Formats: sequence, C-alpha cells, structure tokens
Amino acid sequence: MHNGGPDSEIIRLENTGVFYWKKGGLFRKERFWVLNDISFSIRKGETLGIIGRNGAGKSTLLKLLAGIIAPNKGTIVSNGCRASLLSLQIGFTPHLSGRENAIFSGMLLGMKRSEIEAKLPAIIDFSELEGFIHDPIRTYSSGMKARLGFAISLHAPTELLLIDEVIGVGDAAFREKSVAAMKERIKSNLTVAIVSHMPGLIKEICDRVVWIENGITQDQGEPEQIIGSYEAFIKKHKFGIRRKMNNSATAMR
Amino acid sequence: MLNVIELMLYKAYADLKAEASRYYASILWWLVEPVIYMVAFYVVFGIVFKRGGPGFIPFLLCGLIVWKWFAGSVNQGSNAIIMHLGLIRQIRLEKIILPGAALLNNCFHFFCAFSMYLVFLTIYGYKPSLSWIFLVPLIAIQFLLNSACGCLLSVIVPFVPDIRQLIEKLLMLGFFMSGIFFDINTISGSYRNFFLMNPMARIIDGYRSILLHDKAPHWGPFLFIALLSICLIWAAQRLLKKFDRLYPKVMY
Repeated sequence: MHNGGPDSEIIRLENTGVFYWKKGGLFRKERFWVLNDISFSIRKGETLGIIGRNGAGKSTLLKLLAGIIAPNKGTIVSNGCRASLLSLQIGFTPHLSGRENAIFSGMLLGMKRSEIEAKLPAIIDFSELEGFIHDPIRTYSSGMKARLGFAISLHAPTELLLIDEVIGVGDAAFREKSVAAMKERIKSNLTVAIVSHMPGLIKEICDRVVWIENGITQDQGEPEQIIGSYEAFIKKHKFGIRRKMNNSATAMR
Repeated sequence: MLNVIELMLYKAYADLKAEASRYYASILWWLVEPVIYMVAFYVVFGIVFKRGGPGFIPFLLCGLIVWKWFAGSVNQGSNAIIMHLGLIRQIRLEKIILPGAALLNNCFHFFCAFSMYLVFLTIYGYKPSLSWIFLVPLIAIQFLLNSACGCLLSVIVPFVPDIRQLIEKLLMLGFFMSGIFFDINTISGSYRNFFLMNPMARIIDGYRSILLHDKAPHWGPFLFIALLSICLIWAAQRLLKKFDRLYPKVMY
C-alpha cells in the first residue's frame, strides 16, 4: 500500500483494548474492559459503518479513534490525521450570544479565531439565525440551538469525521437540509466512521462495515453481507431470550 | 501553543461575560462587590471594635484582598478539570486551558478589587507614590505562585477528589497563618521563621511594605518563589500532558 493514495490507511487498530475503572475506594479499583480485541483499519476517503448492540463499546471506540482516550492494550497506528467526533453544541454557554458561542465552539473544535470568524457568515446563513445571532442562546429554542450547533460542526475542519448516531437535527425541514448537507460531506473526499442503529442508512452511505460485539470485532466487510449476518444474529439472540423466558415460565407452572 | 493561549483567553472572556450577563448591573458588581467587602470590614474593625489603631483598616484590607485572590485561584484552579469532564469527554482539548482560564478569571477579579483598594487608600490619606511601581513585579510573582498551586492541584484532584476537602481546610488554616490579621514582623524569633516559610505571608507583607510603608520589599525570597513557581507550572503542564487521555475516563 502506498502513502497518500486513495486506498492508503489513515488509521489502523490492532488487537486494541480499553478498560474503565469501576468506582471503588482509594485503593480499590476494578477494571472493566469495554473494548477487548478490536482490529480494523480506516482507509482514506472511505465511509466506514460501525454496528453493534447497545453496550458493545461503539461510543468508546469512537473516542479512541478521536484520540480522546488511549488504548490500554494493542496498538493504534495513525498517520497523524486530525480526527474529531461530530459534537453538536460543544461548549455552548447559555448567557453568551449565538455569535460568541459559535466562536468558542469553533475554537474548541480546532479552528483559529480568525478562521471561524471568516466562516461565521456561512454558519449564520446555514443555521437560519440572522436576526438572532447577537442574542444570548438562553433565549433560543432547542431547535435554534441545534441548528447553530450543527452549522458549526459542519464547518469544522477534520480529516477523519467520527459520527455517533445523529446526522440530522431540528424540525422536519431543517432535518432534511442537515441530513442532505451531512451526506454531501460524507460523500465528498472526507473520511468518515459512523456509528448507527439504522441499517438502511449504513447500507446507503457506507463503503464498508465493522461489527462490534462485546468489545470484539465480530466481522467486517461489505455492508449488505455484514448487516445481513448482524440482523440474523440479533433475531437469533432475541429468539434465544424469548425461548429461555418461555422455558422458565413453563418450569414455574 | 498560540492556539492554546488564544483558547484560554477566550474561555476566560466567555466565563466573565457569562458571569456579568447573569445580572442587570453586570460589570458594576465586579467593582461593587469588593467595596462592600471592604466596607464590611471597615465597619466591624474600624467603627464597632475600634481595633489596632488608625493604620489597621488599610493593613487588614490589603491582606484580605491579596489572600482572596490566592484562595480563589487555588479553589477554582483545582476544580477546573473535574468541572469540565463533560467537555473533555467529547473533544480532545489541551487540559492546561481549563485551569489557565480559571486563573485568568481570578486575575481579573483581583484587578477590580485591587483597584478599588487603591482608590480606598488614596481616600484614606495614602498618597500614590513612585514605589507603587514595585507592585508590578510583586503581582506577577503572586500570579506565578497562584498558577503553580492551581495547576498542580488541577492535575491531582480528578484522581483523588478527596483532596478538595483537604484544600478547603488548608485554605482556612492559611487564612489565619498568613498574617492577614497581624503583622508577621512583630512575631519574635524562631516562630517568625516558621511563619515566613509560607510564601503567602511574605507576599502579603510585600504588598504592605510597598503600599503602606512606601518601600520596596527584599526581592531575594520573591525571586526564589518565582523560580520555584515556574518549575512547578512546568511540571504541572508536563503531568497534564501525560495524563491527557486519562482524564476523560475519570468517573466522578
């Protein structure tokens, strides 16, 4: 594989694991492994879907990819690209104006103050907040805040965008607009890793899918195939639970 | 590096702005609050108890205001990271920004209070003099000391939250041991050396000798405090970097 080509890896995880501590006393800390054995890579320009049941470790995995937390075992090889979690309304402070929150939020997302100020007109325009941008955001409706938050993160610079579930926000009209904008961004040259529970969305936008189960990479490959076996697994698992319940119900009788 | 400073400044500005816009009189409160504080002590010690002679009120207020800056910095600096766990779990952030912004915020509050104190002094009959220029290095040195304490504590507190309890008690002890209510120079012999081991006692004494006695303090010990503080700030920054990706995992 050659560097810089369309197929080059920008980040690779090898048998990676992460633990958290369960709160005990000062000297009594218990580890629990959220991720156990994760191995996959993300190639430049692709859109990678991450699926798995609740508690499988998907969000922790995104934090790991974003460099927010470090692995406790295994390795992460990165080409040093700037990865960031799509965080809506990051650092929003109720008493500051929409404009000031946009600046602060943008700076937290890695922009220079001058950069974000240059992008402000576009952000204000996209969020449809022209008349309100100098008002404190405590006077905003939750929809207005969501729009501003989304517009800022849409303009934040990143090479690897990590999305946890949500790609559209606001009311029906803005939701459509934001989903479209996000899809456009995803389909562009940007590299994306997205966690989602919606198989339809994954099939539509992802080039490849990784399936995480109990902190272990269960399978990876073509979206159709992986989602197929994932759904079969879920069905079987649910059925398994139901059968167990039936058995115990019979036993009680 | 530049980005870090820019973000630190903007965070401090945003916090101040948020603080101010919570009230109608906003900015005025930053000036009124220390005035009320000073008036309260003036009434209690100058009018009700009539303690310590005519010079006692300026003497006391100097100690109180300087101490308040130190205590505020230590308190807010040490809480800076655990107050922002939600933020650092979502984005990768240079952690020094958090205590840094808290320290700048306190610095601003001190400037408001201190300028009110200087106004009080001139009203009280102390003429502004050229030796007030020595306040500049002294304030800088105290800022270094405040920062060293605040940053170092911000490193540890997320891992051992109990330290917050300890800090509270130690600040209470420091309040009585730093010569706010008495002149450390009047203590005799070996006790005095013991009190002088406390850098805040020296710093408060320094402010008084400049403002009330019109003379520069001995800079030797202050140089030592400044150098030590710089080393500690450097160490704190190294530790914050080292634990950078551990803080988001802290359960609190």
